[in-house]
Amino acid sequence: MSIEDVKARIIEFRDFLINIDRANAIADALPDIAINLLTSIVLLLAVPIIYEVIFVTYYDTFTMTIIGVALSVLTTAYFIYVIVAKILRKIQRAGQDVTGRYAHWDRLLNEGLPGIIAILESINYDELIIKIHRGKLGYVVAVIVYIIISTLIAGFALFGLIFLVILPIFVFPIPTQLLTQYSIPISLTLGFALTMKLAWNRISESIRTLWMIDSITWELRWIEHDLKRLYRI
Amino acid sequence: MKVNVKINRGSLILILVIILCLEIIFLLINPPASHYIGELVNGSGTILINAPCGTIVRAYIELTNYGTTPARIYLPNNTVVILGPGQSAQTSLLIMPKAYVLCSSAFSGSIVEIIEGNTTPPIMAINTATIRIVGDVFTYVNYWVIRL
Repeated sequence: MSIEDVKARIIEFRDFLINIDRANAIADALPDIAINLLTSIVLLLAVPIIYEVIFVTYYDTFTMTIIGVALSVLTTAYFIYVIVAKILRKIQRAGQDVTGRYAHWDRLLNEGLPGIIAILESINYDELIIKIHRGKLGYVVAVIVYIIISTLIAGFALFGLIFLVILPIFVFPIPTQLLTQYSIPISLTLGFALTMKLAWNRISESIRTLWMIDSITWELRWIEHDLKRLYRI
Repeated sequence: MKVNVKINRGSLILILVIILCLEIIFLLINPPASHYIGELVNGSGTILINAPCGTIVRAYIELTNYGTTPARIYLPNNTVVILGPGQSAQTSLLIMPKAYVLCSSAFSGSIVEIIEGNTTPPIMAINTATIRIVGDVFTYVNYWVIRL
């Protein structure tokens, strides 16, 4: 293996380290994401409960309709705000600063073999393995959260488009059973299919990255070992 | 005096998960939907609205006189409504369970029962609102039940 090959591998490894650090940053943000998501779901489910309890005890159809619509609109708006403005942004922003941690590697790589050895020696492999395991969890959860949120957004958009715009224009009146029983499952299934279609490359790339990280780590340990042996450093 | 209460994120997630589970259980037991029962009472009859232990019942009752003679409706608050032929009346009742009834006294009947004829309803260990009807009256009861 020539020095240029080693340099190329190290650059490749730097990209993996950046990915791992990003995944760790996502793992750090997971409790906050969970709190935001749970709070919005708790509020969303509280609406029908509050509506039902007040309706039964107070029973005023007109007032209850106004309260019900107001509560539904507010909680749905809050749910969309939490998902789009807080959770997705948090996932996208997680680990944006990690690239800077490896900026000095370019200078070290230009120094040749001593620089490569310095890079390899600066890596704490035990710590790296812990980071990889933690990062994998963060990565997997981030991919799942990403798929769920994208499915929900696409599902609601398709629900509005199909059942509130297209069907009322072409099929009127819409069969009640279709609207009440099957509209949400149909919308979510279509939303999931659309998400997988649009984000398939990104998702498969993430899965491939996860598979490759382990092998690269062990390969680099061998490179470090071989270099030390060959050049007696 | 200022009191600072700090909850760590793990405890907060646990509390939210517990609240979420309770909400899901509540919605599974009490789906936000009403039930209805409609029946034509010929001559005389009784509407029984039962609130067993641990339930709150809201009943919306609509009565229409289908007969040719005036009908009399005896409401639970001791008022009597007289309906002329073709006339209708509505009332809404909230029935809570009796505080002293133990939840172990199981209730196996229906929440709302419409009994035709002069049969005297049995005395039950639950809170029951009784509406007595004299006349040919179509009775429509729309009710919501909350099981706590």
